[in-house]
Amino acid sequence: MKKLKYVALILVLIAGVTLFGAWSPIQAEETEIRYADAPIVSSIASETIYYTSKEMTLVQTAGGAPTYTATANLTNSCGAVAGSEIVAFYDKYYPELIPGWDSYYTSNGKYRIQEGTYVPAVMKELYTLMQTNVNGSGTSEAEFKSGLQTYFSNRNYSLSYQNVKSGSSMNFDACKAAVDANKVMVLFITPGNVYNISEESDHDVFDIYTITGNHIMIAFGYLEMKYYNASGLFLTERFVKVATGHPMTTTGYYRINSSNLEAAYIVNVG
Amino acid sequence: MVEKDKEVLQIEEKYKDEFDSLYDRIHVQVEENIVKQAQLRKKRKQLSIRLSSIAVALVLVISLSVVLPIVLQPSDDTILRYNDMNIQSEVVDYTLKDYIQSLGDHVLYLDWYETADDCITTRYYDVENTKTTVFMQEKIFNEGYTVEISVLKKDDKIIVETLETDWGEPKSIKINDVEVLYKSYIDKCNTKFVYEGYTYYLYFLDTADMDFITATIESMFNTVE
Repeated sequence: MKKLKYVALILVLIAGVTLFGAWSPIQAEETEIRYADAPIVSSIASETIYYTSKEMTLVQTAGGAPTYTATANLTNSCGAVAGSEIVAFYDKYYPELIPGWDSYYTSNGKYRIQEGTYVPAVMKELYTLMQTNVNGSGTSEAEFKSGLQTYFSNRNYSLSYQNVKSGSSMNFDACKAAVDANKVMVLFITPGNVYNISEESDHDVFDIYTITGNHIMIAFGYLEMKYYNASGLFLTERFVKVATGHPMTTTGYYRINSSNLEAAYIVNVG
Repeated sequence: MVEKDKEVLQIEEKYKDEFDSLYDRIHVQVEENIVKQAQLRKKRKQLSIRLSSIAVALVLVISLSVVLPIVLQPSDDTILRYNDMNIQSEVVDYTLKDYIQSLGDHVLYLDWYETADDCITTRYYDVENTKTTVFMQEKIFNEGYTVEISVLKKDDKIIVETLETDWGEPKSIKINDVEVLYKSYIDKCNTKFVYEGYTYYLYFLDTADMDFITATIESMFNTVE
């Protein structure tokens, strides 16, 4: 009887190890992060910083950046939206990235409002190139980067990515250099916050907008706030200015040391 | 003791008939008592059932009177909420002015069509019923600024979460006797007001200049015919 018990125990252990061995690769595959539809919600909560004095530096790329939102029938399309913003951004500097249409107003260099023909066409092409909803919901980082590169190479331009994530944060100096050189960045994030910032006489209020899923968005500016009180400098806040891809708030500010940052790259075109 | 028992037996023998009659009466009384006890128990049981029923009924009535008003009153579930997940948009080839005139109501719009560098009008609709227009939005680029104006008929049963973001503590200003709520950020400004049954959201996407914003909203009232 005892022998039978030992045999049964050994068989159970073998079965368990076999099952675990079969399960692990599946789990490994499933841990690839995919970026899809991620509703944004505004929060009743906000953050408030009181100060005696402050210094604010806010810089964005020349003319800002396109701020697009998803067109109808493109589900899980945050990659295609961010990609179309990148295409439209560089269309100002690299002609015919969007054939037949200028993405900006020639009178002042600001980016055009999203219209109903050319921008949707770019989005749809990128949606396909990024293999959106093919290998899972939305697109992965690798699929996004490959798809965008293909879009540019199809129009005889090269595109490369320069990593600006340093540890768990964004390298602020690298972000500043990119913006100062009129380049945009692409951010890959898991659920987290962007902020809209209002100023009062002795305090700033950061209204919180939460992106509720994995999301891709572009950054086209930087913001640094230095806060002082009677003791001197007590807080430095650093953000990048982002185009969220959401109609609720098309732009916002993303903390460079947010814990939900998966990856961030400067997009270089040549 | 044996003598007494004999005496008892003699008495019982002498008064046999009386004793038999007595025993009969005792038996009858005992039986009657048994029946009365049974009847009493039955009555008590019936009473407790009645009391229990009354108690249950009372509890039911009280519960219903507390619960029903809560259940039957318009709850959040009866409010239709629109957000990114159940509305979609399409660019249309008519202006907000065209749309408003088709409604026949006194609805305001930004009359920049002659001077604007760009004007894109978008219809936001219900994905389940594509003929239902949730709201109209027009983005106009004029004099270097982009203004986004969204208009919808005021309805307490509909919340468009895309527009009704939480502004914390907005400020207000009176323009043309109309209270305009606004939240001013470092690089943009959101405003909202209600006028003659319609709610207006004007988002100034790249300026927080209150002189410009006030003048823009004021100009809308000139479009009322």
